[in-house]
Amino acid sequence: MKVSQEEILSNKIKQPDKKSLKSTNLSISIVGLLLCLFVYAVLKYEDVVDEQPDGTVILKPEREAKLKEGIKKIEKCTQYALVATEDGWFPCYTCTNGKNFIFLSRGEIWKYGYTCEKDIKKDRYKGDFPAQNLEAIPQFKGFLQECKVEELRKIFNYPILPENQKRKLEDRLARPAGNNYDT
Amino acid sequence: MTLNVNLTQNTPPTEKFVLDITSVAWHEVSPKMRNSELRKALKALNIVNYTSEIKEVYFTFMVLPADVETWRDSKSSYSPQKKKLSLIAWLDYKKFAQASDKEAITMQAQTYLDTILTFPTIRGLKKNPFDHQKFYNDVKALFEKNQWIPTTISS
Repeated sequence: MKVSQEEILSNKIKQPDKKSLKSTNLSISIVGLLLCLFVYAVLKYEDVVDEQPDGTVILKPEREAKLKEGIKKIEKCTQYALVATEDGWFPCYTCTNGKNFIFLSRGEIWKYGYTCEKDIKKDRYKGDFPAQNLEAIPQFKGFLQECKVEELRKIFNYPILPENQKRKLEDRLARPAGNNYDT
Repeated sequence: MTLNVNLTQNTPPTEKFVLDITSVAWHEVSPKMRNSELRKALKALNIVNYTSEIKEVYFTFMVLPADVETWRDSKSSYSPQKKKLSLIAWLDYKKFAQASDKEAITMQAQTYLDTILTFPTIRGLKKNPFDHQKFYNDVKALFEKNQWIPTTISS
């Protein structure tokens, strides 16, 4: 929004008073302090490397372990589908016919997803799925990138699946009912 | 005058089920899961007969090959705030994959019963009144009636 000099001079636009300037300064100080703490917390070279007597340098064992753990986590991912376990109505986030629910037959896809979490409690479903009468069918296991590719392939190809094509034209979906976004 | 209208195909659901059964089952074994039948049988029970504290009970069967590590640490839990019990039970993947349809539902039914007996060990739940023994007996009777588990003859 452009503000003209006249508007400011005529007080049409409220100018910041001393009190608000003071609080702005305080906010900037807090952000600055947090930034300093963050910089201090950044890993230093000597935190991650051990120098050997012969002059060679190697990663510290705990750093090596963290690396392995990090790689392992993204190696063990799963792409899955949430499907209807019974014929019935399910929430529809992608319907464009003005309805918030869609009727799915048993076995039809509600959502595609992927996860690298070992503990479902930390995952988004927390033991129960976003709607009743859904089950997760893991379809592919592999690296994070491979699972992401599988998920994308399935979400993007959903519109041409027979289960979507058999619907009336106005009820067909561009993405599965539970996939708000492409990714 | 009774008005019989079948709304199944026309109306979104309004009922909130309190005894739900679902699964995370590898795609090769998922067609064997008999969650719908178990869920339908359990509709005969009303959770208010066993507890005044819990409103929702979600039961998830986990059937994954050993090399699928995601979801591996899933455990049963109880949320007093949400009054929700989330039960997780693992089925042996190899045995389940090799089981006949009859054996598969028996495995599911038996595992469901065994899990009820673990209720007192679920963190936070032991302080809350849940008549798990009565629930166990009623579920067992239902499963026996459906011939999913062998009938026990009491003396």
